[in-house]
Amino acid sequence: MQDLPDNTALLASVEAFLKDEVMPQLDAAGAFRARVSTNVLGIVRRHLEQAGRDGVHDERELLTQLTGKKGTLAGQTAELCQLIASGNLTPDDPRLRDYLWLTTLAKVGVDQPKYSGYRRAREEWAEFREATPPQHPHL
Amino acid sequence: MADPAPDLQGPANGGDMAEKLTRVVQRLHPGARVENLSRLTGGANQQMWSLDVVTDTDRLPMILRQASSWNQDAENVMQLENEARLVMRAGEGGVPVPRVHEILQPGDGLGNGYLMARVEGETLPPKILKGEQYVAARDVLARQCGEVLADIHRLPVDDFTFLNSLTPGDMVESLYQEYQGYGEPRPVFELAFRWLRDNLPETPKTLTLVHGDFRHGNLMVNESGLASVLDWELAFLGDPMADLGWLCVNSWRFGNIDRPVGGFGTREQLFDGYEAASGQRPDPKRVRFWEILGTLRWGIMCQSMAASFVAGHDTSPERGAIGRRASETEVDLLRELVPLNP
Repeated sequence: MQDLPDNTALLASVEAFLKDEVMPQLDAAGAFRARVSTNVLGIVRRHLEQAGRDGVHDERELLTQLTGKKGTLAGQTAELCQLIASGNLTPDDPRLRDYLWLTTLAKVGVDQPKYSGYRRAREEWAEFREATPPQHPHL
Repeated sequence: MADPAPDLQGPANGGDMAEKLTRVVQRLHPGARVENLSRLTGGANQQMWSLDVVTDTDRLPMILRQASSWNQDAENVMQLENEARLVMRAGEGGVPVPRVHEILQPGDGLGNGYLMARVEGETLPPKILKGEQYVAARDVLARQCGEVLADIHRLPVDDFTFLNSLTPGDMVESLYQEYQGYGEPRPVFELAFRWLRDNLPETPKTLTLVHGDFRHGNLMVNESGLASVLDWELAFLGDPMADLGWLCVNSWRFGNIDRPVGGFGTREQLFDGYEAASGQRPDPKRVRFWEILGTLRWGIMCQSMAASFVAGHDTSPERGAIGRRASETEVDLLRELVPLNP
């Protein structure tokens, strides 16, 4: 275990420095690149924050259920892709539906939490989950 | 015989470049001078230069589009002189495009490219979607896009043998091949491919000219609306509805999710304009197919950016960040293809 301050706080500090102190000193092209760089640090910070939270859905366990196989995350994902491509798994299966929604929401929540489609999807998912509690474990 | 490929990367060649360009513009306007030559962008495929051509009576603002020297003979990319011919044809057909002044010739020593008018207008989406001066433009833009697309789709291009013909099935399969090449399997993309194959529309009786990249960035807007359609290098012969679907992809709405046409208009306005100009009302189901294919296409374009970052071709933060945008298309695809119905 590393000592304090933790990684996410360090990243947030560098993000604020780039945004508040570096960007105003740069020309338009430089400021643009600094802004993109700040956003990239934000992606990494949010991923660390997400991984550190309790109650995150277990992607690996869901994949084991869906594919019936154990293995690496990449291997299981490739296996799932084959099952979808061949039509052996369809989104009518609530487990596949839930897996796709949960993993996608988790990914975009890291990559682009302000994206319009993500904000709308998050509302839709919350409403849906309230009306239809999960029928299967690990969610 | 082709000239040796020019090397225009170093600023040391700026003077040489101006000299060669002066010879080109003097074909158009004897005695003219080149002023304010500056490079606007340098991409992997081509570069853009801004210049003024000064004659005794006029100052003509121009843009030079020029192929990068290492890309003169690349396959799969439309040669710039062909793009120039297409833009000229579009202008003759009443499509708003910048006027093409001159196509570079081998003896010019400048490689492939052409000179066109530098048109005044705005291409940046946040300015177009929020700027006070574009209030009136935003009201009419979706309808104008429909009208202009109808004009594009009836351009006579039988003599342009450089245009590829692509049926809806060809489009899906070539996209799948590209996706597979990245070796990064994505469950939502697989699901989208499955849906596209299961819902493939019939190939239209006649394949028409399709612009191929009709969206923000390539649409120049002024106070009265659509002023110019740019970047024709992705044009092909196919289902004209592909252009309408691509224009509705959520990634080009820039947050205005409930205004499906570029974040500024409704599908009804787009279809009304298209029908008024062509007599044919677009089939919403077919346009939706192309919107879903377009969303997936943008996702795979982002994936290609990620691949070039990972391969070390471009390890800039910009390239890495755009690679991570593939996931935005997954959330849009899911909302379309696996809707939640409590």
